[in-house]
Amino acid sequence: MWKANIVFGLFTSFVSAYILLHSYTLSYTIGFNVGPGYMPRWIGIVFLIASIFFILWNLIIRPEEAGDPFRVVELLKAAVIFGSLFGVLVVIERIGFVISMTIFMFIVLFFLEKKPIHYSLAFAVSGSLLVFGLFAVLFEVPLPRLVPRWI
Amino acid sequence: MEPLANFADGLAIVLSTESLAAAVIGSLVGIVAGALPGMTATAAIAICLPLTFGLDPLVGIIMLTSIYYAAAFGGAVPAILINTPGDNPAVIAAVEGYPLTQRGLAIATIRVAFISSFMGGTVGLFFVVFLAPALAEIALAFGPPEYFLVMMLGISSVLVVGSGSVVKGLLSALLGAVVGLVGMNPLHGQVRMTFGYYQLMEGIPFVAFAIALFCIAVAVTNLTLGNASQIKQEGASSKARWPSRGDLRYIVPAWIRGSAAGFAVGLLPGAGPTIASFFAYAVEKLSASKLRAPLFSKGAVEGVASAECANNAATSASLVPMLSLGIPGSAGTAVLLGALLMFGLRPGPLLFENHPTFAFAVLASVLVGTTFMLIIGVSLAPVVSYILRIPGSVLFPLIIVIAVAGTYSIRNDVFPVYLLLMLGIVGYFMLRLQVAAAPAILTAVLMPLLEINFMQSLTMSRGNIGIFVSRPLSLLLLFMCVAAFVLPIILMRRRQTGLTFPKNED
Repeated sequence: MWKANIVFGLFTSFVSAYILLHSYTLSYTIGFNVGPGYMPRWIGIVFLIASIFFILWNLIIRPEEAGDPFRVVELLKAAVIFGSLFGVLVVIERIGFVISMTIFMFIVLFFLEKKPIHYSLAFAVSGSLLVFGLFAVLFEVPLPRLVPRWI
Repeated sequence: MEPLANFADGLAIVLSTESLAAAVIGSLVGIVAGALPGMTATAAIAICLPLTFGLDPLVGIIMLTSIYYAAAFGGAVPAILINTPGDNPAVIAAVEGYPLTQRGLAIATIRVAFISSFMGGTVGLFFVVFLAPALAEIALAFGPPEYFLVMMLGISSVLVVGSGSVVKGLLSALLGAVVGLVGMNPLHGQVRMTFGYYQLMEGIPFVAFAIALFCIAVAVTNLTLGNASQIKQEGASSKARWPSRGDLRYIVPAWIRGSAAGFAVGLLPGAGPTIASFFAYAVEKLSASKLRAPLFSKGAVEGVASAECANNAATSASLVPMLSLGIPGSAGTAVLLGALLMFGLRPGPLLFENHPTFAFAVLASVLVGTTFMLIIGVSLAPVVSYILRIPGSVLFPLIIVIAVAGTYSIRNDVFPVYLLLMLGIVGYFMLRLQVAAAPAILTAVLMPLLEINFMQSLTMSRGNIGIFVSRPLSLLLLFMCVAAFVLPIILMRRRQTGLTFPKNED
C-alpha cells in the first residue's frame, strides 16, 4: 500500500506545484486587501509541504495499512469502465442519452460482469429508459436525444 | 400568544382541500427531486413555478414551499442506500449512513434520517413562528470574520476523524480547496485555472465533484473488485427496522444539538443547510464520548441524526431572513422570494404586519408538509430499501447512468459529465487508498465562501488579520476550530498508546 501512497503523493505534489506556480501569475494583493493570488499561493505552499511529507513518511516509515492491494485485473476493469464511459460521452450528443447509456451498461454487464446477452441487453435498455424517464420526462431535463422530442 | 393564534389561523387555511393537495403534491415532487442526484430543490421549484401561475397565490406558495422542504428530506435516501447524496447537505448522510447500510441497517437508518428531519424541521418552525423578527436582527450582527470561522470549524472537524490519517485528511481537504478555487475569483473577477475552457469560468460544479467522489468511486470500486453481489446481500438483509433503545441514547441528544446548531446557522443569510449539516456534524463529533468518537465515519447513527436534523432546522430558519427581511438565505429561498414577488407580495418586516394570515399560512404549510413526509418516509422505508435487492452487477452501472443524467442536468451540457469522469478517476484512487472524500467535498463547497469572507474581513480591518481574535464571537469560534482539530488527534494518540477506551464497555 505504501507504494500506491507514494504515487498518490506524487500526484498531489504535481497538482500543488501547478497551483503554486499559477498563483504567481495572479495579483497577490490589491490595495491593502488580498488579491486573487493570495489563497492559491498559500494553499499551494501548504499542499506541497503536506505532499512531500506524505511521500517521505511512506518512504521512511512504510506504514502498514489495511486494504486490498491494487491488482492488474482490477486496474484493467477500471480502465474499461472509465474508457467506455468516455467513449459514449464523446457520441452522446449525436446518438442521444438512451442509446449511449444502453451501450455503456451493456459493456459493463456483458463484458465485465459476464452476464448472459439477453439479461445484459434487457437491463441495459430498461435501466437507460428508466433514468431517461425520470430526468427528461418528469423533470424536463433536456437530455440529448437521437430523435428530437422523442428519444 | 399572538403568534400562536396567527399560526392557528394559518393552519386552518392550509387544512382546506386545495391547499392540502398543493402541500401533498409539492412534498412528493420535492422528495423525488431531492433523491435524484443533480436535481436540486431550486431546480424543482423553478420547474414547478409555471404550474402555479393559474393557482391562488397562497396555494401556489404552499406548493413551492412544500417542494423546498421535501427536497431537504429526500436527499438522504440515496445517500444512505447507495452512497450517492441526492443534494449537498446529504453528504454527511452518505458518510455515516452508508456504512450502516453495509451492516444491514438500511431501514432503521432511513427512518432515523426521516424522523430527525421532522424533528429539526418542526423545532425550527417553532422558533420561526415565535422569534422570527427578533432572530433576524441577531443574525445580521454576524459578520464576515464569524462566517469565515464557522466554515473553518466545519473543515477542521472533518479533517482528522474523517480519514483516520491526519495527513491523508489534510491532502483530501487541500485537493477540495483546489477544486473550489477553479473559475472566476468571487471578488475581483480574475479567472483562475480554467485551462482555456470557458465552461470552467463558473467553477467546477460542486454536485459533479460530490457525485464523482461518492457515487462513481464507490460504483467502480465495487465493480472492479468483483464484490458487487456481496454488497447487495449485506445491504439487503436488514437486521433492524427501527433504531434500538441503545441508539436512542445517542440520537435524542443529537436532535437537540443538531436542531440548535442547524437553526443558528440557517438564520445567517447565505449560510444555508449544507453548512448547517456540516456544522452540526462537527458539534456532534466534538461532543462525542470516548467510546463513540471512533465510530464516526464508520457508521455513527447520531451523525446521521444530527446532520439531518440540522439540515431541516436550517431550512426552516432560512425562511426567517427571507420573510422578515426579504434576504434569501439560500438559492432555494431566492427562488421562493422571486415567487412571492411574482404573486405581488413583498417580503420584509411589514409582511407579518400587513399579511399575517398569508405569512403564517406558509409556515403552517411547512408543518403539514413535514408531517406528511414523516408518514411517507417512515412507512415506505422498507419499500425503498428494496433497491438494495437489485443485484449489485445491475445496480452499480445504473448508479453511474443516474450520475451521468444528474450531472448533465446541472448545466444542460455534457462538459460537467467529462469533469465527472475525470474526478471519478481521482475519487476511485482516493477510495482505494483510503483517503476520505468528506474533507475534499467540504472544502470544495466552502472555498468560494471562505475566500469571500476572508477578503471581506480584511477589508473591514484594513488588512489587519487580528480581526479574527479581536471580536469575542470570532475568538470563541477560533478556539472551537483549534479544539476540533487538536482534540481528535490527542484522542487518537491516547487510543494508540492504549491509555483509554476500555473494550466491551458499550
